[in-house]
Amino acid sequence: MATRQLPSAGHDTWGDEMGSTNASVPADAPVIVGNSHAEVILASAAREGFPLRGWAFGRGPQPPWSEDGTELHHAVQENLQTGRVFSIVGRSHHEERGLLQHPVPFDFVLPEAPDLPLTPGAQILPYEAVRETLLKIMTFDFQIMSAVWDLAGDRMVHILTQPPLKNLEAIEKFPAWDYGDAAISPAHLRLKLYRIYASATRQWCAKRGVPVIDPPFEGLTDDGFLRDEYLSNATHANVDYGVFWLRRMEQWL
Amino acid sequence: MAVNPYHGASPHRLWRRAVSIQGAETDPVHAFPFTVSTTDAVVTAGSCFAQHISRRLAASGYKFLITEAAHPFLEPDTAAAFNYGRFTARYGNIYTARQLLQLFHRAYGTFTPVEDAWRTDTGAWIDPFRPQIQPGGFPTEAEYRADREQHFAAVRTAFETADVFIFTLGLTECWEHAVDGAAFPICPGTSAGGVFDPEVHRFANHSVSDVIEDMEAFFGALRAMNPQVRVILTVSPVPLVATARDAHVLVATTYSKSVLRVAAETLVSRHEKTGYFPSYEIITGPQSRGGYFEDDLRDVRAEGVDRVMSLFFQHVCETSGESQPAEQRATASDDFFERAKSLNDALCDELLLDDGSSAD
Repeated sequence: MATRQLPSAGHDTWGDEMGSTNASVPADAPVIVGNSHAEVILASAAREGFPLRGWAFGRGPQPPWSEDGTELHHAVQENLQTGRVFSIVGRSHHEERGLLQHPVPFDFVLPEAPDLPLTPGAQILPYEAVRETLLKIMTFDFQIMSAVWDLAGDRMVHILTQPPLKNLEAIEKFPAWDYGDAAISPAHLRLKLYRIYASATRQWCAKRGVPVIDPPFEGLTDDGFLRDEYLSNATHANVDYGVFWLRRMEQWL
Repeated sequence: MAVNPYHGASPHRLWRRAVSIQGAETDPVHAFPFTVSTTDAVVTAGSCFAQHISRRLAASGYKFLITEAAHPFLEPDTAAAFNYGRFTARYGNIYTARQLLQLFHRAYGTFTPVEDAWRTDTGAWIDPFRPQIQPGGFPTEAEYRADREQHFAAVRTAFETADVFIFTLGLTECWEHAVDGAAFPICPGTSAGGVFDPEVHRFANHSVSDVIEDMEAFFGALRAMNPQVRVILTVSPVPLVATARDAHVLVATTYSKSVLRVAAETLVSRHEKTGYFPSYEIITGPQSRGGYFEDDLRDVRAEGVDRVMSLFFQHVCETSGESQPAEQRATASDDFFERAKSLNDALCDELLLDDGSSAD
């Protein structure tokens, strides 16, 4: 069965605990590596009885690197040696920059979808400048993906995270988080930022011949947003959507 | 002894005392007509040399007005690459008086050039009047037009709210459109973009009267919007990269700079609240012995900029201009993305609380 237990202690302990919990899963089971979105898939796998090993980063001082930061943590490396490796690495930096509406609203024209609305009164930013900024922020994610690819090679398949939710009210209903006095950014802006993330990630994968699993359409609206019922919190899909991912992942086994 | 107008002249009027003896310490500034205070909103525009003035003012605690600022979303080095903050607005280099006047009219909708956009081989859009403002050009027409409207609004704000407008005159040579006289900052067909068409693009080398006429038209339009604005004119000491005339570029440079210098002098003599600052003389005068130019004898060394700005702060500004970063006032947007990152991190961590046992 899949596990997703993560330690609360230090770095080496993290590696050891992940290794020990993964040991309860068949050694030839596929593995998923990633950040919080990997948690969703692992939870879905647990519920569905889908054998899946997992490495969800985000814990430890420098996850998932070795102490000197030059390579992946040894425990991660050991579990990437065999079998299909699914990567959903990425910390949703497009959400980080775009979820909350900035005091100076901004927007931009997305070349692949120039008819998407522009926020009235927003400062229009150069698309290439926005893209360049997002790519800079995504550098750390690409470094991890490169390290995974170095180990897994053609066993690697990358999973794109889900698009944003369109319905602002559905996001705002999550009471646990204090957005302060900030509103949620308009849906079209969040979608544009997501699409920069998606295209940059696809380009990275295409350069290396890494197949990409696109966001399963079953959970999306006609205009490319995540459907309300598949939201876990403001920036993550829930385990029901995770099942759609599992179905796609099965095609690569 | 017979008395004559030179008898008892102040030392600054006498070459031997003011230049020969002073040498590198020559200070050619005399009786500047007004003072720039640290609360004055200063707008800068002009040729490449003017960027030095912008940077030094900003670094010295003066209120260098930026009406087209980079959004905090952009990383600082990306913003700089996209030419935010080089001048008050993202107009790029303005080399001629004609270009300045037309910028005013374009910003207020009273002049729309016939040649309105260039296209690159990859389909990107180039603004013929700001050809290098956007690395690679604008990827879509929608962005090109939205950005330009936004830019014009920033230009209008600059003209209307400036307390001091500093303009560096750079060139007399330019290329214009034969139909409407639109003055391009760079000849069409260079690496900056556009396609040169000898039937449409004509060379112009503005005369003293041309420059005076354009600048006086600009002054009139500017002061109609902003009657109290004070203007500082300078002439760029940077020689021409190339001349379109069949003449030696050194000769062509001397002509251009002479025209601009005479025009500046004439304008100052005719208009109140207008001063000339002798950047040109400081850099190129014999007292500098060419020492303020780089090895290419064209670019100005940092020591030259230092000298210009040192005298500028001494004679024109309220304070000495020793590096005093502008007063930092935290704004609501300063730590916005840090807070957003913390929220994103928290949302990611929240996933650990969900063991997936329920889909509700």
